Amino acid sequence: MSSEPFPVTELAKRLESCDDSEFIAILKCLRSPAYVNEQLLKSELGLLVTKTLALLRSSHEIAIWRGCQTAVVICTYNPLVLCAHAGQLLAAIYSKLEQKVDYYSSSTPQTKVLLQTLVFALSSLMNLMRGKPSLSREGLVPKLKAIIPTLITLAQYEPRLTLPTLKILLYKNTTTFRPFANKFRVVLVNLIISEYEHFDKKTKQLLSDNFAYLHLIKLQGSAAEDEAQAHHKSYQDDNWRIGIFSVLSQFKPILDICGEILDLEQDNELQKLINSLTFTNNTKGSEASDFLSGLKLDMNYPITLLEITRRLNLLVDLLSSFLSLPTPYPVRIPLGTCISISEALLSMTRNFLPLRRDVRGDAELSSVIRDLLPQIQFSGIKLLSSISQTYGKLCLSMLPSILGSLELFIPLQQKSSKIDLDRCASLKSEMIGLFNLVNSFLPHMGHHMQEVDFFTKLVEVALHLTKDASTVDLVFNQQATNTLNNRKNLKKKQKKDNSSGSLSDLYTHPEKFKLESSDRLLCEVNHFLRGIISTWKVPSSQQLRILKYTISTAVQFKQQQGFIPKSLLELLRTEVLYPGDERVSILPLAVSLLKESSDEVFDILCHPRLPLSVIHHVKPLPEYVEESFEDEEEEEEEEKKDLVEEDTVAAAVSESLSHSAQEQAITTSFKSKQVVIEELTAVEPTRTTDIQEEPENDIIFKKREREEETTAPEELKRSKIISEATVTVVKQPIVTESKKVQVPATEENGASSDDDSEFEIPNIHLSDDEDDEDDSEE
Amino acid sequence: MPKTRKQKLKVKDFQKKKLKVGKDKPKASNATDTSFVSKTISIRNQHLGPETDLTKRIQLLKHHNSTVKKETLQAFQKMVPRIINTSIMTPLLNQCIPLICDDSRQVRSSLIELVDEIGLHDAQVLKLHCKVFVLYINMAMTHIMPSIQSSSTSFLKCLLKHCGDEICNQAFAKIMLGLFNVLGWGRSGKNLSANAAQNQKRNSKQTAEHLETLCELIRHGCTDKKNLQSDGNEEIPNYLPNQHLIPDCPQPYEHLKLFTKQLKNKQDVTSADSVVSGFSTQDVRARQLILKEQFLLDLLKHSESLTKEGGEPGKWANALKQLLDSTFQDV
Repeated sequence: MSSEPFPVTELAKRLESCDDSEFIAILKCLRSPAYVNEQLLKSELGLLVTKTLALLRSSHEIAIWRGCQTAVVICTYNPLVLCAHAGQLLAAIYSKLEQKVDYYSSSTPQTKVLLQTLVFALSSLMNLMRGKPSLSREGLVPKLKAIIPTLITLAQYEPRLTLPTLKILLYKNTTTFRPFANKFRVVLVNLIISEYEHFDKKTKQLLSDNFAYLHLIKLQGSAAEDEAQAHHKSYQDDNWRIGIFSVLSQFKPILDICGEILDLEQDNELQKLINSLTFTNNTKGSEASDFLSGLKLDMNYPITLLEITRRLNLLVDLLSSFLSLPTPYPVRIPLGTCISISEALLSMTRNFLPLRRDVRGDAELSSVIRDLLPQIQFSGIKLLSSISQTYGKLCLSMLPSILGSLELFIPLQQKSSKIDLDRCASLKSEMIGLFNLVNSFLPHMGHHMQEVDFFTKLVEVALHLTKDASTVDLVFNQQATNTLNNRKNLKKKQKKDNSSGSLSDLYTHPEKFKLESSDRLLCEVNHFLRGIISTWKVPSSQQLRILKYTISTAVQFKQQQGFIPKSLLELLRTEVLYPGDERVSILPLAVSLLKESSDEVFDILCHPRLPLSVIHHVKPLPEYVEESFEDEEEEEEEEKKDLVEEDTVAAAVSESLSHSAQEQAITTSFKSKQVVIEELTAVEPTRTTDIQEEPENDIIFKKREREEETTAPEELKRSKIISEATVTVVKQPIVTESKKVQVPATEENGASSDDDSEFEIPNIHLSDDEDDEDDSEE
Repeated sequence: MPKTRKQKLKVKDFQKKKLKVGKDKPKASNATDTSFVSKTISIRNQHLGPETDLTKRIQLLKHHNSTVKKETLQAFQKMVPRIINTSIMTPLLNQCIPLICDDSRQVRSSLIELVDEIGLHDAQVLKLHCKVFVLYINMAMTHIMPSIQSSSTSFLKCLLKHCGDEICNQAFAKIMLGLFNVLGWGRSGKNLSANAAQNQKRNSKQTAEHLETLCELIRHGCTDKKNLQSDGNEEIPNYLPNQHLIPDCPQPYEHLKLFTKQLKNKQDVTSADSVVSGFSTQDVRARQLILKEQFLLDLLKHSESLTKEGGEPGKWANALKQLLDSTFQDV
């Protein structure tokens, strides 16, 4: 079969007319590197590109779609086509996109898909063309001037689609983007003000990222104003800093508004902190963030107070983008200020600050305030999370104050210092965020922890949150109050009505009305408990509760789902390895929970064993010798064996000093074993059995034969050697006849060592007579 | 024809025999002799075999006569060396331990001696039954009869001598509460007047005994034995036995309470007796914490007042105060 690829012309002809599955096959074909051939460039690939362009210029949507996909595939996999024709393809795609944008209507799904494909193709081609100098200079940059405004226009209608591309353009082609920065800013500001809350999480992220990247563009006006300071060197990140400070300065007004609700004068430190959050040194900053209008809040309509949380979420998102996005040049971040802001946000709590006297006490307002304050605190937690993700260890110096302010988040009961566990349960999703943050700090903290109180409280909260929440508790806990009695009566009336459903299930099966805690919460809690147990000796009552929680949850999971989730497994492992002050670790319980699937850690604990390489040094000789021979000869054998081994080992060591000496030692020990065997055959000629010898020995002995040329050729008598399995298995007595071969070995070894004086080497005559060897005993 | 012999014999059957004077009525021909002879074997001395079946003796412990109980206990005490490793110990202890609340003083004192003897030979046997011991000692401490109450501490002292660690692990807080009850001390925040009735009947000797036991308990429970052995070494010594080996204490995971249903405490009162006794006291640190939080102030207050009164109780109260000061000086 020839190795030539499918002819391109054929493929090109079929592009338009084939059906979809064939199209997929054609595209796969086109990926082949066989087409990267200069000879094909003019003729066949040119035809392909022409066809693609024709597809792109047609007015059928399917054709355009196919054209885009083909263009992307051939440009990605074929550098020749990329260099030669990418500019044309880009122009064609762009013109189509422009057409679509000018007559934008998001009516049908096909238009949506087509737009998506066009933008995707555009951005892929731009990415491909970007890094190459001449290609980008000639093909990409001239067209960018047209592409960018189109994309910006499209961003008004389809932000999710276009913002990723614009983000990359802002980052990589900053200077080209500059003329359009203002226009883009207007679009973004519009989107942020009007519809920020309506977008999903990803789009919000994209909006704030793009807003931050806008500040990469140096505004020309900044240098002209400060003529007095013009001789100072201007940093590259000036604009970025302006952006950050513009956002930071928006926080103080909101904190002042919170001062209308809570009585902040009680806490001097907090007042000082808030007052320090004004930034007056950059006037441009206030202009930059003027787009955020003031909040309209009315205490008479308490729902409007929730605007505060929305504004705070927006500010925190914008700030997180500024703090966490990668920049082409180093930027100076006011980390301390950001952390102070988050601490100030976290201090807005009724645990220690009373409400202001002039706040009315009606139910609506107080319930809104009660829900509002934890949300304000949670925005502080979100800010800290993004800081810790990006700047982890840099926050260590401020960690004590951070942890102190995090402690304020845990709701306490009124006028006492006990944790209000019910409110914790209602703040479950926020608690997940808190645990996430603490988990990111725990690895940095080490073992000397001063903030013991905070972690004790967190453990309490964690253990409470893992219990399934029962939604019918209130039904049973009705105390004898009038209002509740009235409700009861109302229920009875409703029962008689028969129009509502029956409430009997509430009473007979209350356990069916439980809300289970989510997997994500369990994962975070397990992670947190793992960190706590491994870092610090928990007080024993809490340790016991943690153990009980782990074991009962593991059993539950096993029964219901058949396996134990990973985070719980790791928690089990940590608990076994760090039993704290307990008398006994829960190793047996853990092992029985994991009976079906073995766990490496528990396996090592239950069956401690040496590492594998140590075992090879164990000498197998003694057990073998004992079984085969009588007692008299055993001592001699061992002496001889010792001698022989020493000799062989010495020989081995003297031969080579590399680390393969170990292997030699092993092989020589085996060899010496054989030597012993063979020698002893000389001792007892009467026994005749089979010998089991490794084939290596043949080779070794043959080598020795070659070395010694002086010895008589008669030595080479051998018995029938059955080479079978390892020597250690041998348990039979040995053959008599083979004796000659080893004699030179022993003689040689004996000659090379100085241990002759300790042992008497038997005089073994180099003759065929077997009977002579009887007198060679010592 | 004259009657033949046959006919005569036939007639004879129907003739009534005349009864003769001085002689018995003749027997009927179908009369059967129902007389019988019975024989007995008489044994002079009772043949008692070796005392292999001790289980019968255990039943005597439930006898209504306290002398019988006392003698049985003494007999068992003599046999302890022989039977200490047999399976009779469990039923024996199961029957003995309820005698802690027995009415008779002699029974209780012989029981103490028996327990002491068992402890001297093999303390593990006592460790196995700690739970039951604690239960009955608690019962004794809260008994309405004052004599039983006051002898409960001697049991406690005996047990602490042999298996103090185990008792402290299981029921430190509970026993502390019981001791407070025996001594008639109220806890701050609790109803003081409830114990006022018990106050008068205590004499100084008993109070001294109670205080001695209290000192023993606190010494066993709250002193860190590791620190005693370290000879002033400031570093944390590695005296903990390997926690991953097979445990040498019975029921190692009982304190996890995996199989017990715990009632939810709705009122959330942290100083109620039931809550305090439910605290886990598995290790020294926990016990020190509980002592400090719940009992320390009251202990100091009452020991002060008793020291001032002087005498035997005063001496022990002083010892208690010193022990508390030395244990909690740095806490």
